[in-house]
Amino acid sequence: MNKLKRVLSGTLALAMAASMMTACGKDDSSTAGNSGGGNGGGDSSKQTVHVYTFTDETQTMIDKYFLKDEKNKEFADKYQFEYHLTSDANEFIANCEAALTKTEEAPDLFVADADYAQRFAENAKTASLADLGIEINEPDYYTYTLDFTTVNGTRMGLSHQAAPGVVLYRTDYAEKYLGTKDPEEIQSKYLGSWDQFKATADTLKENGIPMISGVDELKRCFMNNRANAWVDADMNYTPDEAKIKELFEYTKSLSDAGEVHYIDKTQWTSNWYTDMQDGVFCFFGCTWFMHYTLKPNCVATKTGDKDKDGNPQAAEADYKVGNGSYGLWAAVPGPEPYFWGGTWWFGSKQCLDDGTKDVVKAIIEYFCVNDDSMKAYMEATGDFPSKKTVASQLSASNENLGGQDHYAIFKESAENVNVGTCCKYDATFNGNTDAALAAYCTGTKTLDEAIQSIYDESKTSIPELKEKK
Amino acid sequence: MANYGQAGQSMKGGYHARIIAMKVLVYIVCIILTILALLPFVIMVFTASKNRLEINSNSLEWAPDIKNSLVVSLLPSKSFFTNGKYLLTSPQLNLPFARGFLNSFIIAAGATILSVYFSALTAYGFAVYRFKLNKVLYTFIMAIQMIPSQVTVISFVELMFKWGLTDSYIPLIIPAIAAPSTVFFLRQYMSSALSIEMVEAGRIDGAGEFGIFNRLVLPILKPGMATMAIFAMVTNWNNYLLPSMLLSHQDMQTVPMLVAKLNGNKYSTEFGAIYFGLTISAAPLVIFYLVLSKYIIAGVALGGVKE
Amino acid sequence: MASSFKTRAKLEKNHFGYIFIAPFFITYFVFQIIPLINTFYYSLTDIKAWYVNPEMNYNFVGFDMFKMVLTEASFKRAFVNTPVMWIMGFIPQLLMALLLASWFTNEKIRVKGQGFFKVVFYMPNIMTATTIGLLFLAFIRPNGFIHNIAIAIGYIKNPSMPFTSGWFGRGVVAFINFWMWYGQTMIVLIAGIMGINPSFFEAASIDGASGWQSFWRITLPLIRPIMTYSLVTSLIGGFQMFDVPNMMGNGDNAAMFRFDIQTIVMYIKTIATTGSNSIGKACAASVILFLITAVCSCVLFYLTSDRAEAKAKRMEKKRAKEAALQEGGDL
Repeated sequence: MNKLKRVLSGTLALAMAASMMTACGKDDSSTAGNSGGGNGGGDSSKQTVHVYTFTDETQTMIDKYFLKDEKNKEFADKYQFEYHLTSDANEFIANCEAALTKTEEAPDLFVADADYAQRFAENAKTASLADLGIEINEPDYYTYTLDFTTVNGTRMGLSHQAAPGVVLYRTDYAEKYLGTKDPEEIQSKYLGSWDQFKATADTLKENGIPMISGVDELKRCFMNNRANAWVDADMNYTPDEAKIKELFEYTKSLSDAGEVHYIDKTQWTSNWYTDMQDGVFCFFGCTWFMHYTLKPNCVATKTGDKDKDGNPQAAEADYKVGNGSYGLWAAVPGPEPYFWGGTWWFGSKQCLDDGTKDVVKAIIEYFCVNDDSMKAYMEATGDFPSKKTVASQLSASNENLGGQDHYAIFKESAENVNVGTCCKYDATFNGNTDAALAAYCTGTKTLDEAIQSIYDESKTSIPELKEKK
Repeated sequence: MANYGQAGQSMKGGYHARIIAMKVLVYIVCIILTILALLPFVIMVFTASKNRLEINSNSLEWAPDIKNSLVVSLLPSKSFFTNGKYLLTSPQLNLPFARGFLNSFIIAAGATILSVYFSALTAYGFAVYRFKLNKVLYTFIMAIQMIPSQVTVISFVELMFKWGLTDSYIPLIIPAIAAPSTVFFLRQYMSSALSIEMVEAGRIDGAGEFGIFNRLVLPILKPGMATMAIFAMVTNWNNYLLPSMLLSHQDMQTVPMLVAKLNGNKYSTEFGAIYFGLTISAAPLVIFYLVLSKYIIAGVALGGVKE
Repeated sequence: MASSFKTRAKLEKNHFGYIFIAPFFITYFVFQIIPLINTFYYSLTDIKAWYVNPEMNYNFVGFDMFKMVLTEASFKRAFVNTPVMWIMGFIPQLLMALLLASWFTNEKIRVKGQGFFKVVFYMPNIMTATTIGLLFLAFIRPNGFIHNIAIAIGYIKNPSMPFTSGWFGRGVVAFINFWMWYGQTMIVLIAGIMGINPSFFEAASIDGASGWQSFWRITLPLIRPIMTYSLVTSLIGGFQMFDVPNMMGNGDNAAMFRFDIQTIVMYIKTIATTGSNSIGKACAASVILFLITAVCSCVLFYLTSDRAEAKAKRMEKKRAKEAALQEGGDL
């Protein structure tokens, strides 16, 4: 019994110590390297701005660009930022909505993905651009970036990026098996339509190269071109069944022919990332995908090397042609124009009360309104702006794309994107479509069952949903 | 104790052979089960020591080399600390495990202390005092053990939102005061461990009722309370559903929540790091278990025999 | 002992009893009874989660939410999956535990290293269920350990194909439940068998009963209350199954058979935390879960408890408890 007693009393003592640490050490803990938590380090003379986000990119943008800019020195002196990061879509929605109802630690500034931008635009606690005193010249923007966050004609939030989609393919495979790596020729002969795409997939399959990584690769290219939103104003279910069928049947034709590397959902999984290094012919990417996802994952990192600190941005030396598939990519518009996401910035009504309105306004204007600062940010990252006036000034020679100017392609694609088809519950519908698509491709469900399951599963979490008329 | 032996001995000549055959069978089954119990953890630790390419060993080939990858699953490699460093320091994974351990520990320790102390108090109240509602209320406690706690999870969380208690440890610690099965266990324990003479002696010495409980009774109940403390600690440490619905602030999250995030994290490109995360989430429990296994096993035996 | 102790405890300070038990009941009322009442109340409304509906506007909709839940394919699926996975795990769990318990208590076999085996077999039980769930999910992924074995033995012909079978998924969850719990059941049963009065076995052997016969005729009937207890607690736990299937069947990286392992609690959480966050509907499903569990527990108790034998069994249990206590105390 003595040993037990010692263990238990030790545990108790530790518990006491631990609770005392948390009681008087709140600030220590936030500086102890938790980048998710308080980053300003407990300087009580500064006011805290709470930023809720689904991506670590937000913190980089504010810390490394906005605050580093000389012109924003007054904000750097006056405010500290606390980032609340949740990457899972449903969890982020729940956390951020919950936080919006509070007054303590409520979001002053928050960002949303395309799947739920509309939902947050409709939130009663979201401030409109007018509330924040932000004025924009609407014709300057790619319309879809504005449509996403418009509620009854009121503009609620702004995106800093437009995310027109492209197809990124491997130039080395193209040269070897298709006989050319020239983007224009590839676009016109091999990837310009869905029929060409399938024929190319057949050719590559014969040479042992799968066309795409997973069955969820094509979904946006089809579904973001849907004719209408998932539900109408009366909550009637209004799916674009023709598009859904097209997507399902086309994807299955590829997976049945063995042209999909994993007959599974692979986006954001390790199989997907590994395929970027080597393994498949192409990815359906977009603007941010190129610098945020493809670039850091296409290089083959050497194990045990000292530079492997898990922070790809830091390992600049790794970005050389020949390391993994770096430099072996090229971009073409692909079979159909589409877009992939975007990051919409919102101010909350809370920031009007907190007195943080000036900094929230300044950040949104810095990334989404002001041409000069937008241009600087886009040039530094390779991202693509939501404003045509900025886009027209941009050109680049992208090393990862073998020197190709990706802006030229994006400018063309962005003009062709049309959106007016989003709804509040897109996150739910899109998630269930993913699952249905995977079930159909693996043969677990028939086409009709798979399509019906999108309604059934969505109805589970949206009781108001009415059946298709 | 249970003696099956005598009848058999006088019966057949093949008796010893049969016993030996039986023994062999028993040990074979036990060894298989031992492997089964440990293998997942062994693979977990070994995979945590590999880099991405070693794990996705077949990703570069159209047709994977199965035998090779099977063998590879069962061999350690040398990237253990690289994976660890990646998991703990990478801004891309962004999972504050050190903080998570502290959080889980605070919640588990707090809930354990409250549940054990107040359960002992409640059990003592029922054991020593004869008041009108004693029987009725004790039956009530027996009955509510059968209510699945997850029935009320949704409206519990709603209520905590209303009271502004989300992102707080209060709803995870304070409700531990009412732990019906611990009360039941300690009440049973008291009936064999506690003598009324001692309580009366305390009263004669002029001690107050609470003084008697705290100074005389608690020390006697220690073994029983320790058993319950171990289980309360493990249960609260492992709790996932409620914390995942109540805590959103990154700095407040618990180990099971961080483990869940290992899966849903879009930025995790390193599977080795995920296995490393699993390994370090399991490590404290393994140590805790190995140190206290004797008491835990005895506690399971005790707990299961209860009515 | 307990009863004589109580009579003599008739003291003038009996009202202190209320003070001693007050914290328990206050806490229980605030954190359990109020939410339980709310659950029943909300189940008749169309209320939304507080964070999408801070004004708490709602309408009474009668039993509409119950109707919706009961007619819905996803509820029926969860309602079948949960008990099916529980039974698939519990039957082997109980059988394995019985087998091991009978071996470990058998004087003839005298298994050595029992302490070691008990420690090892019980170990998975204390592990964090989310850790276990994610670990097995990683095993069944393409490139995972189990997936590779399935390719090697030819169960999966196409290496790019993940596991898709619903029954395979339920089997994995059931196996994990078995794997986590058979050690626990075994230890409980051993304690029960050790608590049986040795004179029963002596009498049986004088009558010429074989080892198998005395196990079947004496051991099993006498540990039946303990098995009933295991059965009922396991059933209640089974209906609340969440952590393991949730790790495998929820979120962006869920297994392909995600819907075939969806349990009732996962279904409730999906309603409450996704889509339009309908707390009313989630509470209706919770009430149904409550009723199902209550009915099943009562039925099981009645089916398995024999009133005529009840008294004798209670004696045995007390003995078993003392034996177990002694074991605990000796350590």
